[in-house]
Amino acid sequence: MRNTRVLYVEDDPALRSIMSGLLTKQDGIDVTGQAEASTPALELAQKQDFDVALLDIALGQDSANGIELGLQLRTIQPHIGIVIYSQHAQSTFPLNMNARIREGWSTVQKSASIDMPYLVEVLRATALGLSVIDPKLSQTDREEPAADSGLKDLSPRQHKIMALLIEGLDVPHIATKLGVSAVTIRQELSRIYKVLVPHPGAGTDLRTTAVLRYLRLSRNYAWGNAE
Amino acid sequence: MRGVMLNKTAFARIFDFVAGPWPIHPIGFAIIAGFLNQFSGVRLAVSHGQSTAEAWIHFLPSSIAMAAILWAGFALTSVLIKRAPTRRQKQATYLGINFLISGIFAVLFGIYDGRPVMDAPLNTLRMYLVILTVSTIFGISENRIRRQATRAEDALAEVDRQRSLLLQADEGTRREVADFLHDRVQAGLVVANMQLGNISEKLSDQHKAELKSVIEELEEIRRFDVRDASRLLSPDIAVVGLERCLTELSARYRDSMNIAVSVTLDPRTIDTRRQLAIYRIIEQGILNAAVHGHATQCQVQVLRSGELLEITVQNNGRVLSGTAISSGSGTAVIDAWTSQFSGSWSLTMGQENHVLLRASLLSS
Repeated sequence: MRNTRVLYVEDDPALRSIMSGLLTKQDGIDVTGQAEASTPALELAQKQDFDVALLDIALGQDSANGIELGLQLRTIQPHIGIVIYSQHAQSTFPLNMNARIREGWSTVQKSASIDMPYLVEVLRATALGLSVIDPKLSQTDREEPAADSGLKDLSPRQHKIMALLIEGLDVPHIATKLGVSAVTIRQELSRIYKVLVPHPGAGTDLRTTAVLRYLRLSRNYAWGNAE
Repeated sequence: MRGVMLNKTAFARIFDFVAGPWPIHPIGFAIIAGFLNQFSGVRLAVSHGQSTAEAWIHFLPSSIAMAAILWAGFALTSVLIKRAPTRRQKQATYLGINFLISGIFAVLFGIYDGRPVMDAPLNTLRMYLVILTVSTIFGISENRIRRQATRAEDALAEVDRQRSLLLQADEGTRREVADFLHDRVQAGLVVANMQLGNISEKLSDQHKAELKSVIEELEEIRRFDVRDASRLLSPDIAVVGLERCLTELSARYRDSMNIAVSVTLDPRTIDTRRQLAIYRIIEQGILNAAVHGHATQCQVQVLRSGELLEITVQNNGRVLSGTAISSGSGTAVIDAWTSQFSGSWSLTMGQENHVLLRASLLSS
């Protein structure tokens, strides 16, 4: 079976370099064209055939955006698959297109922890005319307790433990500082983790995650109070 | 020869000054003439021993008649001047009809007052000069006021233009920073996180897990905080749509206020700039409700009514006082956006003592 020919359009050179490197390593994928904006991408599409285009949605001020570019590419190569690779949580836009155009349009969430085999599958499926919408795109909010409830659920002693944990102290030192046993501190930490990291992923370091979340929840962005 | 030319020019200038045509004010002339006749007649009668009340009653019919005749005559003059096609014809009408009015008036007044017929030409001339002089004085004053009004209107138009430019500059800067956050900063964080992920492959399991947590946290910041900051600066209406932007806006206040958003029009039928205006007006309305009004409930509605886009933001907060409205309540922002689209706005108490911000914009 012939490899899937990919046109990759991304305006950030570093990301383009890393992603194209990762894609090239995948079996069955050939990144046969790369561009930083819509105009060179369209020029490439005039010269050579692609099975699928992987497009960033925001391509800079002097360029058409990924969706517009996808539509323009379709006028040059009517059967090209379009995969929008973006951080825009806008999973529904292919549904707004008419049924004929919608075929072979997919969206994938831009992420540092992108699952390359998944991306490859999406590229192949889209090249065949299927549409895939990354479920991560529909997640518009964090899956974690709100700032108020997360911090309110901690007792004053748990707050003290977190403050010492942030300073980098380990359990025996925290126990000494607070004048309690190490077992008590471990029990408290276990309760704290349940509040701050209610749904830990596989291989998640609870201590580091809890410290980072505690620090984030302590910040007050006060969106509603700004003028 | 040159002296003759100059004299001709000077004469033309004087003629133009006198002949105007100056604006005619039929009602003003009629009232002034009526009052002058009444006061002079009463004064004369009183000096001859008549009581003031009797004199007032005696002269009132003639004063009213005089006012009515003058009003009719000047109204006719005004209409004829307007209809005359060229300036010269307008001037001729102005001078001619005024002279005619003066003559008719002098004759009628002479008959009424029992004066000799021989006095009529001189009285006509007197009357004519009075009319021209008063018209010129009125005209000069009116021109001066008109010039000042024009200057004020020009200044107002310039303020509007400057305000529009400021608004555009503000939105442009917001858009640039938002794009920078959304594109460059996010892409930079993705790249950095990818590199961290690569580095973590070389670490022990414990350190790998710790670094994974850090990467996840950075990803959360990138996906949500950077995105929220970007959208707070400039809503991405063109990409995500007005309704969604409004939903995100209301979500920012969910801890302090319940906001119900209803958009009962098709945003695709409105250009992006009008959608942005709607968004900014609602943003200010909600901000006022939360910060100044301490509201807990808020209803936002956007609908089309004929040629107008109607926006209402109703909340159960306290009413803004005059001081609060003038200081930091965003009314300048609302004012600027509504005036951009020939709209208007008001802030009133609605039903059940609710504060109601109502704004309307021309839809096209």
